[in-house]
Amino acid sequence: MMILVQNATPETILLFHDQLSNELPNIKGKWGFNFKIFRNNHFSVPPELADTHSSSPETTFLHTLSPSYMAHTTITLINRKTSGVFCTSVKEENGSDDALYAIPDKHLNLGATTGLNDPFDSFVHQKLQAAWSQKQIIRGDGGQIYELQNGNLIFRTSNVFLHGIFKGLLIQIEILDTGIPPAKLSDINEIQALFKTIIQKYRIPEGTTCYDVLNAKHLDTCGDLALQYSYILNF
Amino acid sequence: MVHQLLLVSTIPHSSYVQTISTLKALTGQLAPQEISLYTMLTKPHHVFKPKFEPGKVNQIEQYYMKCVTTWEPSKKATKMDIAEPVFPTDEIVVDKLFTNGYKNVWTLQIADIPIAGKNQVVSARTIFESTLVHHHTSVDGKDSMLQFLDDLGYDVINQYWVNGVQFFYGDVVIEILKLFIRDDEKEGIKLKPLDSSNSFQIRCYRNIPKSTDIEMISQGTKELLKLQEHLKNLFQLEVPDRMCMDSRVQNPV
Repeated sequence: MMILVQNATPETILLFHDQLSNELPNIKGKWGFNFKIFRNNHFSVPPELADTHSSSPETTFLHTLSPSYMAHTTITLINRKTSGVFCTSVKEENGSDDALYAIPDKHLNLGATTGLNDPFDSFVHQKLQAAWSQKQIIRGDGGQIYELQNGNLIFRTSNVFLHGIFKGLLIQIEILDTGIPPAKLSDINEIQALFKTIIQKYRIPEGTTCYDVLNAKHLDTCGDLALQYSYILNF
Repeated sequence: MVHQLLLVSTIPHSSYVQTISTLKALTGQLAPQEISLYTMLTKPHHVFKPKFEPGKVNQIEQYYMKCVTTWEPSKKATKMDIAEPVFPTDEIVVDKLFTNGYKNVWTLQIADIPIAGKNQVVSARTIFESTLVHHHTSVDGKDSMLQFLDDLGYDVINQYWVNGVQFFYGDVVIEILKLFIRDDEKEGIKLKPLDSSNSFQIRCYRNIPKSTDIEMISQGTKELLKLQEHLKNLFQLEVPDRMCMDSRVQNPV
C-alpha cells in the first residue's frame, strides 16, 4: 500500500522518522526511485480512423518505475491494465543470486539477446516515440527503508520531486504475511481494515492512500506496485 | 544499445561438415555453441501521421520490432540435428506457444537501418534491446505477453524459428543458421526450412557497446575483414543489402 503526504513539512517528516525509530526497526539502508509517465503519441492514429482523423482521440498512459532496491530492473505498466518487468543484467553476471529478477543464462547462451540491454524506459524513449511521448519524470530521493515485526512489515519512505520541485513524502508499506486467509485476500474491506490498524499503530501522517491491485484474484507484486505509483504520483 | 558490425554469407548443405571443421581449427573451439530461437515479428498497430511543418525536421520513425525467445523443440519430436538435411517428409514439430504454458522471457529488439555510404566494407548499425522477464495482466483469459504487446501498440505479423551453431573468433561471433517457417497445422506446429535446398545462412558480427567508440569500431572492422580473408576459400563473406535491413515502417504521406 502507498501513502503520499502532500502537505509534508520538514517537521512532520522528522517527527515520523523519530516515531518509527522508537519502534526499534531494522534500518535497511537508503533507496530512491525514478518514475516516468508517457502518454500515447496523438499522431499515431488507430487504422480505422486513419482516413478521417489527423490525430488520435484516445488518451492512454505508459508508466515506468525503477526502484533502486531492485537493481537493473524497470517495471512498466500500460493502460493501468498490463505490466511487465524488464531486466538489463544476465543472471551469471549478477554474481549473487539474491536478485528477484534477471535474464536467465540460457536466454543469452542460445542467442536470444546480445547481452547489451537498454533499460525499458530509454528503449521506449528512443525507439517507440511514434507510439509514446515522455511527459513527466518523478524522482524519489533521500529514501529510508525500515523493517519491523521481524521483517514482516517494511516501510519505505522517500521525498518525491516532480522536475525538481518537492511534492510530498511517499510512504510505501509492504506486509509479507498478512494473516488474511488466501480466499479473503481479494476482499478490499479486509485489506483496508488491515492497513487502518497499521496506520493507527505507527501514527502515519494523513495523505492520499492507494491499495488498488491489477487483478484481485492474481496478485502481482511488481505490477500492483506500479499501479499504485501511477495513482499516487498523479499530479 | 549495441553497435553491430556485420558480414553475411550462405553455404550449401554439402559444405557444412567442411565448414564446421575449418571453423573448429580456426577458433580452437572443439564444440560450437547451440543457437535456438523463436522470433515474432511485430508492427505498430496505429498509423503514424506526423505533422510536417516547413523548416522542422521530423526525426520520429515507426519501427518493426522483433520479440525473441529461446526455442525448445517439442518433447514429442526427436532432437533436431542441424547437420542432417531436412526433407519435406521430415516432421519438425513445435508446441503451440501460447496454449501449452507460456514463455516469460522475451527480448524486444529494434534495429536502425545500417549506416549509408558507398565505401562500407562491413554493414554497421545500431540495435536497441530490452528484455522482459515477467508479465502480468488484469485481462482474464489472455496470455499476458500477447496482451502486453497489444497494449504497447504492436501486432504480431510473422514468426520464424532459427536453429544453428555459433563460434567465437576473438570478439567476433560466427553463426551458421537455418531458418524455419510454419508449414501447416497439425498437432502442434509443423515447421519446414525457409530454404528447401537446405543451405545455411552465415552471419559474422562484432558487437560494440558504444556507437561512439570509433577506435573499437575500426578495430572490429579490421577483425571482420581479417576473418573474411581467412575464410574466402570456404565461403565469401559479404556486406548485406542495406535496404533489406530497413526496419522503418513505410506510411503513406
